[in-house]
Amino acid sequence: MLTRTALLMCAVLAILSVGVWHYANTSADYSYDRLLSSASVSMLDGISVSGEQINIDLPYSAFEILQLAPDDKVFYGIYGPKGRLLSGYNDLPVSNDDIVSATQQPYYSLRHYRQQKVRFIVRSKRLSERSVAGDVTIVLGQTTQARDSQMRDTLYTALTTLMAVMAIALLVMWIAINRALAPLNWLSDQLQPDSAMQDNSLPDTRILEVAPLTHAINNYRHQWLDALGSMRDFIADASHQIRTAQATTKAQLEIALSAKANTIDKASVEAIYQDHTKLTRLTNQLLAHATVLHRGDRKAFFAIDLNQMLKEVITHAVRDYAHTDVEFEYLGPEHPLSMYGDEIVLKEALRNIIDNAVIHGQSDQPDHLNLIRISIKQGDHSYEICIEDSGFGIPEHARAQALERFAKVGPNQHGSGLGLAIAHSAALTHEGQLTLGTSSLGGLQVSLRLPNQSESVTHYVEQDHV
Amino acid sequence: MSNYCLMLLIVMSIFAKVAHADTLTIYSATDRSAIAPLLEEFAALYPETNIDYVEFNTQELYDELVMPAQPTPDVVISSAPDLQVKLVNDGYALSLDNLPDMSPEQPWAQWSDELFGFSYEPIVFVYNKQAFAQHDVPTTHEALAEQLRDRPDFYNGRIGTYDAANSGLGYLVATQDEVTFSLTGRLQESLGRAQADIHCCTSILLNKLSQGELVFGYNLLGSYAMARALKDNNIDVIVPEDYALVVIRSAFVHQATDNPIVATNFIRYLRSPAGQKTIAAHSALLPLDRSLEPHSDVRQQLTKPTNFHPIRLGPELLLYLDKRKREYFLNRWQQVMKHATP
Repeated sequence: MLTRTALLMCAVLAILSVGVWHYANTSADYSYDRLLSSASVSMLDGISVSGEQINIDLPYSAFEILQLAPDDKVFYGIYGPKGRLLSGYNDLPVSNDDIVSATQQPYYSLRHYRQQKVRFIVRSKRLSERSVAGDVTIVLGQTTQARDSQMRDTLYTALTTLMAVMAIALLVMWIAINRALAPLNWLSDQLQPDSAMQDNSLPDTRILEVAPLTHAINNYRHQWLDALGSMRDFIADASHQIRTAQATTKAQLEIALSAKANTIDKASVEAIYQDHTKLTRLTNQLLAHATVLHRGDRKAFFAIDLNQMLKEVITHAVRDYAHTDVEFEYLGPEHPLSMYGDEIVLKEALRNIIDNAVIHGQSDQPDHLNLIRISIKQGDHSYEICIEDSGFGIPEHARAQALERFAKVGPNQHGSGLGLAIAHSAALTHEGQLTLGTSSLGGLQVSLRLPNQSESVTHYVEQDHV
Repeated sequence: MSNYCLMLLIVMSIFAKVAHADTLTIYSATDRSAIAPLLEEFAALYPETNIDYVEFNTQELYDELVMPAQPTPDVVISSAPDLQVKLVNDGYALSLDNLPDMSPEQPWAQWSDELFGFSYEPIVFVYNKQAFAQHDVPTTHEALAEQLRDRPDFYNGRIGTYDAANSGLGYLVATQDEVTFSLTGRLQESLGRAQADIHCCTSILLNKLSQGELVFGYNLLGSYAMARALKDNNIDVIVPEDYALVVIRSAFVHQATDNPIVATNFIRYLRSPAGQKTIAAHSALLPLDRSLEPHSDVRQQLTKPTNFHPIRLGPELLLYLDKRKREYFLNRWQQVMKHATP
């Protein structure tokens, strides 16, 4: 940052230097041209006409004026009306044109004369006496030592000042940058010794500008830690569940192996099969849950047809539960219901809700009809999918708990406690809602409300085009 | 074989060097006798240098440089500052950056790193002691003007000065008098009325003063006059008390010199403490360094707080060299001095 600024300043300095050089040149020329001008005026003053003759009595003052540039050489020539040299140097580098052009106003030029740079002024004076009529011209030249040295003085002084100003500006900027970034340094000093896992809040700062940042960092950290905490809990729960199921299976196997009889008891195999089914289901659900959570983070939504999707899910369920006496009923429209969403996540959620309904919707009463009714309603901006069963339902006070992981409520404790949690996560992913209620069939009613995102998306697109 | 050739070459080059001992050619408008002590001391300091000293009068020297008939000199010395300034102005001098100014109080003693003064020679009055045995000697310009008016018979035909028309120094001093002193016109008229005796050279005037042919010499070069008074009991020197013009004898290195180093060394020597001491103690010249007491200034008039008026080495000296200005001035001068006897 500072290096770039320094480079920029160097560029500015270079540009300004050209300007200063020009200024120094102009001002030196200006002051020493005035010397030349006044000396030439003074010299012309000494030219007069007496009788038929031009009298030249150059005044001492003219040379005293020129002596203000003490080390410079002086050359002059005085020319009469017809360009005739009256006095002075006869080899000055001045042409007749120069002399003619000086009749209107003094004419300055820089010439080389006797191996030196010489600044010349050409100035004329009209003699209007009857005997001598015409212009007398004086050509006065002075070498440029004093002029050049003044130019250099001005240039160096201005450049020195310029550089000093630039240096001060750089210094001030350096200090300002350091001061402005000091809070960040303080912040990094505070953060460095901390472990990201520590639940330390940053200390309050007196620097007003940084307070929002520390708050934001603290906030972020807490959210992160919360997320980590729930992850840790989930892993602990999951491993506990899996280990328990495995331990049970293993125990059943050991019992079966330790039996004296050579043939395996069918009941033992049945028990092992039950435990293994439970373990498989648990594992599948854990993986499904992980998938739902992971995909929920990514939010890769595409257009889907809810009607079609529901039919597929129900078709699967019907096939899966063909061996049971559960009956399915679907109340949906004939036309497609499109929305934006993640098909895999939604399918997983619905499957779990239906599985849940199958497991918990069974009743011991012999004449009980195990019906699962799936319906979909289209609201203004949302769809509501209801899955109802005819089981015991969940008492109202336990419903909130039922949505948590590994929570098992109700009389049937066979489930993994993950099904509704998966559905809940899927609803949240789609910015929807999962509510539990009492079904008209007598059991639990799970309603999954999904906002119709296709509408809002098109709405945004339209707005973009306006 | 090639080794022998190389040896031979080296030996030859050494011989060539010895044979080509530096020769310093000086063209000078200064009496050889007056400057001799300086030349001798320089020769002692730089034994490998031969000095070729050629004497001119000031105008001849100027003409020789502008239209050379002889080989180019290395150093040019003259007591005519106006002609020296003109030569330097016209590019005959070499710029010597490495030669420091004499002293900050004497900025008029050099010009443009090219022309360097080394002596300080006041313009003085000289009188015949015997003639003024019973009279007061005028010690100021005004007193002289008064005496010329009050005692016309005493001074008539017996006061001498330079011929401005024929002597470069006389012309310079007359013009500078005009620039410096407002009553110069009156004094010139008085000199004209007194039928002043005008001459080209200091020596003739001094001879006539010593012999009593002239009683008073106006505007003579102080260095020669003092040197003469040291040996000649008939005359004495007065440094005018109201103001005394000072002529700076100056030197420059010719731009076409073959020996710039030796030539620069010579000018540096002239201005060095050693050179200045030699000028004060042994030569007929007077040193630029005012702290030294010249041996010829018997009455210590040079160290008195007189109003010395050094003629600055600078471009203003070009003015009176202007052809038309010179004609104009000499016209008036001759009008005033028409009774004078050249």
